[in-house]
Amino acid sequence: MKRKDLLNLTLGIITSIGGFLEVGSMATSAAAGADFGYKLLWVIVFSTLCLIFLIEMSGRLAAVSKRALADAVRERFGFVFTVIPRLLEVLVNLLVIAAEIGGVCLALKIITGVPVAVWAIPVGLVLWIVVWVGTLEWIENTTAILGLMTIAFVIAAWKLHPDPHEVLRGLIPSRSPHDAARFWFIAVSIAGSTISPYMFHFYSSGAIEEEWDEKSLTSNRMTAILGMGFGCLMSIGVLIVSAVVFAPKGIHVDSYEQLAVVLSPALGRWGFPLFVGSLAVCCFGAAVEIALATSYLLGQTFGWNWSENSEPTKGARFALTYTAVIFGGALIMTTGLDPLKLTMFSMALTAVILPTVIMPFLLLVNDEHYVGEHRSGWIGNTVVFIVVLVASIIAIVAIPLELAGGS
Amino acid sequence: MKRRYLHLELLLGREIVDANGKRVGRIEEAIAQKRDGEWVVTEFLCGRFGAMERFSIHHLGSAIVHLLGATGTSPKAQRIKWDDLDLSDPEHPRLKR
Amino acid sequence: MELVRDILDKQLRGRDDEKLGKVDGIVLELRDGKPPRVAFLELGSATFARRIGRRFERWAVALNRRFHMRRARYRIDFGRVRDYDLDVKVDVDAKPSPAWAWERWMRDHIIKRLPFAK
Repeated sequence: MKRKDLLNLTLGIITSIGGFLEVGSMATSAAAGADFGYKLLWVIVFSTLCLIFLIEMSGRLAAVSKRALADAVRERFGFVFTVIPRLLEVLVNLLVIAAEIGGVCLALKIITGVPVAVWAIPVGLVLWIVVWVGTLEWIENTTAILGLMTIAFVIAAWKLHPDPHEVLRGLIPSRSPHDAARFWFIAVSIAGSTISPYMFHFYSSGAIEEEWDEKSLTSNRMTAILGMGFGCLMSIGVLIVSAVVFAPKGIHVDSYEQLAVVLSPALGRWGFPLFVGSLAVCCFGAAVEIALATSYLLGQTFGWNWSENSEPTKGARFALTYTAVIFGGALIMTTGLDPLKLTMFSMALTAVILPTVIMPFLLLVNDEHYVGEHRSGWIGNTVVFIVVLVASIIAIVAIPLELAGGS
Repeated sequence: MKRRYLHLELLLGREIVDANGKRVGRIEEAIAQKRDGEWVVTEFLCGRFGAMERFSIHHLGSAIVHLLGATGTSPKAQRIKWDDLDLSDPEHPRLKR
Repeated sequence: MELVRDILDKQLRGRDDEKLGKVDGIVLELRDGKPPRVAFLELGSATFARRIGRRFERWAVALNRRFHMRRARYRIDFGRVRDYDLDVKVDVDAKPSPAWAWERWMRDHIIKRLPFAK
């Protein structure tokens, strides 16, 4: 492989690792570890497996058909059909970006003591400037490299010497030991935070912006497997650390402030700054991705000029969309909504809408007209189909139960 | 002479009935050819499941079945010549024979 | 040419290779004793809104009127279609066309007033 290709591949993998952990995976994995020990590890693994297939499919669709996801869905299934998934995604994206902005504000609150609601608009402004002025490559590379500090969770998990037998047992699907409603709510929240539709729009649009073709298919596959695989290890790290630190003491993670000390037992005085830094960087990166993904999906649905790499005057509607999304999310956080609760809820909601986004996607990557001879294999199709359908059904049941039970 | 226009995208998914009122299927596609310098519709394709214009559970279900292991071909569609279709009422297309 | 597969809902590109929008509708001309002629491509919020329902079409028209946009739908003669392989390329300039009315309005009234827009 040429040196340039190797560099691109490495960057792609780092981007995936760096982009994997965000407020959703952190909150859901931490809640899982604190409340149920290692018993939800299998959910992280299954969700990641599904995600690997889906990310690979996103890249393959873009590289072969030369169309990004939303573009291809409208083209193949028509306008009336596409309105449903796109509308749902925009609504969920607004909630999720609010949660991510909330995560950054919380990191700042932990350091400064200034409330989240006060930080919301300033953080939104900085976010907007980064997207307005930055190019896709610069944004990806910077947030990815900074995001690598989440390796701290893996190191901490290692240092805490969890019981290997218990950990391995957690990889086998099991029923809830207690409080089934909470168990399954966290399970679908993990699924929703891992398999996020905005990632597929972002990834396939990025592939188009970088002009991938059939030669990119191998590096696409490696990026999907290695990037998502390593990212999964970060989530597992968070779960294990939370399980060792909180579960034995019966501490439930009700707020991010509680979570802030989770790395301290393993990493000493580095624990606190690494946690706060990880939270801020990951949430910021995810917020950028969500804002752009929303612009991509609307721009492609309506046929606008959509490119992060062009300046705003060349894509006015594209630029105004991410502006609206960023400030919409920031405004939501000025209401004083609890960021952790919002995170858990929006992740579970993501699981509910997954089938509407993924089913058409699956049909596309099996359609000769779009991917030519590069159709999906039956394994990938089956895994994705089952995980998405099951996650959605469980979420539809679990969310009302959780809300009724009061979280 | 007043020109009569019709929106193809609003025709999609409409049920076609034959001269006896029996349902034949839904309009899925229009085939066009270039003749004498202009594009004309020569045939309509009519399938048992509506085009994705109408989000039909049947179509999606059938498509999903094909998806899990089968080769992705859509259900066979009937070809209807342009002069066999009466489009005087676009909301209720009928076969002339 | 299969009109739904090859033309409808596909990306439209103008002479300047700029994105014009998506093909929201195809207008056929019905003629006695002759096959229907593919007359126009149509784009616009009224066109795609109508595909959902008449009420949405009325909202789209009202919204356009509120912002003093001349039209909520715009037709391109089908004879101007040059190619339809990946995108549908038409012999029309995107930037000055009515299809870009909203893009121009947002660019001139909002984007250009913000710093670092270029």
